[in-house]
Amino acid sequence: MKKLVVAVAASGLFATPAMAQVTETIDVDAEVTVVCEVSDLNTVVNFGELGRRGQAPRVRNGGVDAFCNQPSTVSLTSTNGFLKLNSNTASTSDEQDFLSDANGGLGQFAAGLDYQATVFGLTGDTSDLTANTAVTFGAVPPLNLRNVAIIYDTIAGPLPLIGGDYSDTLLISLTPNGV
Amino acid sequence: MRITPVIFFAMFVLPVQAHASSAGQDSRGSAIPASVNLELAVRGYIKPRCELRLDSNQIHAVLTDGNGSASVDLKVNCNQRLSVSMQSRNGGLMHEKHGIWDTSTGFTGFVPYQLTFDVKARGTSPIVVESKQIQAVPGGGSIGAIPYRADGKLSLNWKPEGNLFGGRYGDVIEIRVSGEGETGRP
Repeated sequence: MKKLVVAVAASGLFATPAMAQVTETIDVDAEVTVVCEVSDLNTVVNFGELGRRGQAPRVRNGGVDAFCNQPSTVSLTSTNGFLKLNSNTASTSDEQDFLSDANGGLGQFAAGLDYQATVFGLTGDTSDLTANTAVTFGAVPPLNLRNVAIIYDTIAGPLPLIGGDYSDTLLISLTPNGV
Repeated sequence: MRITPVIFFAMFVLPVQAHASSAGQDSRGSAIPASVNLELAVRGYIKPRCELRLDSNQIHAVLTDGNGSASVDLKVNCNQRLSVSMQSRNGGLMHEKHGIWDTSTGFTGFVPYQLTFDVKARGTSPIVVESKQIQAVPGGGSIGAIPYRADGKLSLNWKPEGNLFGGRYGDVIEIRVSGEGETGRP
């Protein structure tokens, strides 16, 4: 008996099968909302009775929480630029003296007083401020602070102060720097 | 699918059998056997094929401080057991300022995640890898079955390890699917 062995192969039969391979890519994009907030901040700071040149015990506003998930800048805006005498006639500048001759007194007096605020390790001074203009006092890293204090302190001036009430409104801003 | 070999066999075998069945002499006077047995070793070849189609090539997620997840539907069609290989470019969701911003205050710009490739077909097992482990080298494995026109899902699950920087995070995942081959090895 004659045996005829026929081996028929399709192309590539004995080759290692090429692995069918498919590649896909996915772009994953995510975002975290930028949040900057300060809570439990006292809205009124009262220095009490001032000394002759404006000396006063520092005021400590404790229990403040701050959260900002980006590096941010701290800026201060003062309505007056200083603690201003509540008077219809007082000058808008704390450097403006009440002259003794004009007021029938002896010597000079001031009608305003600078003060400072220490916020998250940065100290801002109203002597660097003009009315209603924000000034940046520095940058802070992302904040997750609980129960920290903001310190307010008057800056005693060279002249005695006119008797009366002094006030100002201070705006503390925490602004994320963005990316 | 390749059917060419089957057609080729039919055309080749039939003439041989017809010729061999005629007993007699050839032109040189040699005896021709009355019958010839032909033994054909027949082999065919089906090209391995695996298809992967994602419903979207983009995933967008909003991260919070808590656990989160995101997913994209997919379809696979394979004529071998499916092997999956996945690689993460960043090893996790990475903030665009990661490594630049100060992390000493407890913030992080990196969110690792668990990546799951799951196919809805009988006998399959999900492939689960950690993003950190598939950055330098791909990771994955076999789903254990042949997914014929099957649906599936690619899922990301994360749990942030700290406060997260605000802003945008990103990663790129590369998914490679293939048949395991005749040996069953990927």
